[in-house]
Amino acid sequence: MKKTSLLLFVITASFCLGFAIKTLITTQSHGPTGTKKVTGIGGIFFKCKDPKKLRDWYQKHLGFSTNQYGGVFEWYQGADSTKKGFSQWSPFKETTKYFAPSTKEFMINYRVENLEALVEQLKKDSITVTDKIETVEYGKFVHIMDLEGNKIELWEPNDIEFEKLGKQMNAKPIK
Amino acid sequence: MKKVTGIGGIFFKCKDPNAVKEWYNKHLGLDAGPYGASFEWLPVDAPDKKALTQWNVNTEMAKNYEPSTKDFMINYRVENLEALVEELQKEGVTIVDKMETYNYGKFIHILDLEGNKIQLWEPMGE
Repeated sequence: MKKTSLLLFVITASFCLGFAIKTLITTQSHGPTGTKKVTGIGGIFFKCKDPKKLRDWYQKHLGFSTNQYGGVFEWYQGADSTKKGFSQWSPFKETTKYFAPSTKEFMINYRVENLEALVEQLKKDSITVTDKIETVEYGKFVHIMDLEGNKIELWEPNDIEFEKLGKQMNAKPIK
Repeated sequence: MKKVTGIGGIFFKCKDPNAVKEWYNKHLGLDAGPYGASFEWLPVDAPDKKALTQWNVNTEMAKNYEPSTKDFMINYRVENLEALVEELQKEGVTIVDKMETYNYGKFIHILDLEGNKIQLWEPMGE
């Protein structure tokens, strides 16, 4: 009887341990380098025939505040509610070269936490990086290609500078 | 009247949704399940409430982008969908379907002036 209980205990314990290890491995697999990668949507860009008309349409019918660059959505970060975050919305003329070499009608900008470390990792993983990291006041940018030829913009934002820039331009965020 | 308050989702067509989701998981850390991945943020006017932006991919055959022929669709969060739809109707904007209500919100689809299908979403119980 005692032997059976002991055996049962050992089996249960191994199962629990196995489950714990599996959970640990699964959790780690979301960020193999241990760093967070994409943390949010930084922007949506899409091609259109007439960006100005389209911006006006979204302003008139859906209440967007727009300027020549499109609109900016303002929010607070889920991970730190004291910090603001921004997502850019911009229609582009269909002849734009900005999405090349992608031939798609859209491009998504993803906010990332540590662009330099991520780009190093992506290069190791043989991902196509289409340009060099560009650093401007409101953050660092680079472009990569996904497996189906969608061009992706990666942005490590400086949200404080981004907000300043918006205020300088008198841009009203959408919120 | 307040209209769009945020981006509720981005959807795009691809050849192989599973392979694309795996790629975005492996290389960019997106945790996409059957309905895609969710990004969490807090609305400026109600920072005590969570809001989600959904990211998902669909096969090239997906019918839910129709009548748009584009390879992407954007979902916008709105504050009062019924009032907005009434106004859009008055303004002659094309409404593609009837409003549907689920436990996570109300939905409707419209077309913008260049034929992009737009999903409008008044979220509930996020």
